[in-house]
Amino acid sequence: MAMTARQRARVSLYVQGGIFVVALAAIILAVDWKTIGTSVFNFGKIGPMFPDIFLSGLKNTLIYTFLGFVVGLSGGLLLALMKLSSFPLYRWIATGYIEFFRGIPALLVFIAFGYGVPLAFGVQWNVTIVVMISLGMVASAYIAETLRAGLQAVPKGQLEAARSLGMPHWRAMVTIVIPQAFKIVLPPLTNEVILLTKDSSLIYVLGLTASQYELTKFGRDGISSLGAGLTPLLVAGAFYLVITIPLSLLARKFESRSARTKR
Amino acid sequence: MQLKSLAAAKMSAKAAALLAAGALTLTACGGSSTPAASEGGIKLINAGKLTVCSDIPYEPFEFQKDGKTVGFDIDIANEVAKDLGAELNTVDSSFEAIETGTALTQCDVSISSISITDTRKSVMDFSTPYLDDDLTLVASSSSGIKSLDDAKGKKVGVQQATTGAQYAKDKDIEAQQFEDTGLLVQALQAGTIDAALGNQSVLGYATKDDAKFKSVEDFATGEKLGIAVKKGNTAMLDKVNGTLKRLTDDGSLEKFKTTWFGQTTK
Repeated sequence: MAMTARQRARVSLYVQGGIFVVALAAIILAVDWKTIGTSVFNFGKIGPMFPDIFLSGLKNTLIYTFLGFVVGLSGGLLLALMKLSSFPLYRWIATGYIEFFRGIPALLVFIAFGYGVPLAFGVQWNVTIVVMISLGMVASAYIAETLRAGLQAVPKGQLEAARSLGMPHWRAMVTIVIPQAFKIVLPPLTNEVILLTKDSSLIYVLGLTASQYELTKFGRDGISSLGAGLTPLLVAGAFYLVITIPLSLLARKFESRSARTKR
Repeated sequence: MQLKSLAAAKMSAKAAALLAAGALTLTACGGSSTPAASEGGIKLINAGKLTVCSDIPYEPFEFQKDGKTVGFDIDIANEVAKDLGAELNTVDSSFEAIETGTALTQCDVSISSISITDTRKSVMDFSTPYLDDDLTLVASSSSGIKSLDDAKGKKVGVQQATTGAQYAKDKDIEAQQFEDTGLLVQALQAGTIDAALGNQSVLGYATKDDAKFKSVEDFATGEKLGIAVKKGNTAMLDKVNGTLKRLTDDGSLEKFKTTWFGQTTK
């Protein structure tokens, strides 16, 4: 039975649609809706989560993410410049740091700073500082790579032109190259913030008091106190989307804008 | 209960669902898989195996030693499995899953040093109690904490989702919540907390070889530990209770206590 190319394409579409529908039906059949209703979609019992989920959960997630990002951006810029440096030692340090912190789970970094450092040096610092440092150090490794790519994407002629006007190298970097690089890296940086937002959930491992809870911890606490099964986690997940979806839209906006200004 | 024919359809449906929906694991914990009958008409989730959910590590109840899961609870689980003529298969799950009863969708029983509370009774059925386990406050000698009142305003650690955490909440202590006892004891060692509030059995065991820490105050909460089964699974519950009765009568339970807690708890 010979088919034309168009018929073949149509049949293939039908088959794909069919598979999708069957899979969906299979999932719906396989789910034990009664159990799910009481332990995942039990919205009747989550009243006590409000308004605290805004006042501590959402607020702390935003604070931790912001602190991590500030440290990560400054650290990342330093590392990116080190990586592009003509002095080999700087390059090695930066490369070593980046490989190390990109290569181990963020959770281990949190444990190292939250438990290891106090054990080793007998220092007591508060959770916010630990979060700022550990999240910031992980973030700076990722951001460094993003920024390095951005700095290298600025046409070489820009730096040469600035130098020929008599600017010293550092000033040419700060006033000419970095601002242009920044525009290039804005979209990937926004993605970085999204990743950080989610990584901030790993802070639970430090042991938090109620006023320090971020969203995930807040949801998990709700599991044990509300008797609504996993529903509080669903609520916490929704709040993450409240943060991350606008960020995604922002990143897309930046992307289309920088695409327009490209000559 | 599903009909048998539906169950067959569900099995194939589930296979397709698994292919299609790796991402939906959160919601697609397929409901009642058809349990296989075993000795004495007890339905087991995995044929020939007693599947036990436990939050590991929680020394000395359940923890890893030399690549094997051991502990007070595990000894009891072994006996339950023996009486069923099944092989023991422990599944490491989170205490939250155990506490909400969701663990019982994939396990026959949960044995994880679970205190019997009314909240928990609403989502699972409990065996007869197999251990009394009151709360205690452990503090370092240097902290100057002699009682729970001293601990107010200091940093107190508890394990997430345990009765100790609830007790701290009831007493208006803003406690730091830790994931497991291991981290809680680590934080005590590191000095990031001044005291820890938790079950006698666990904290006593964790700090017994450390002169720096001692129990400063006990709280008789009348807490009792039980083995959890899925609500309405009376056949399994009777079997578990039978095993517990045998262990109490022939003195094995006392023996286990001596093995794992040193001195006998009350």
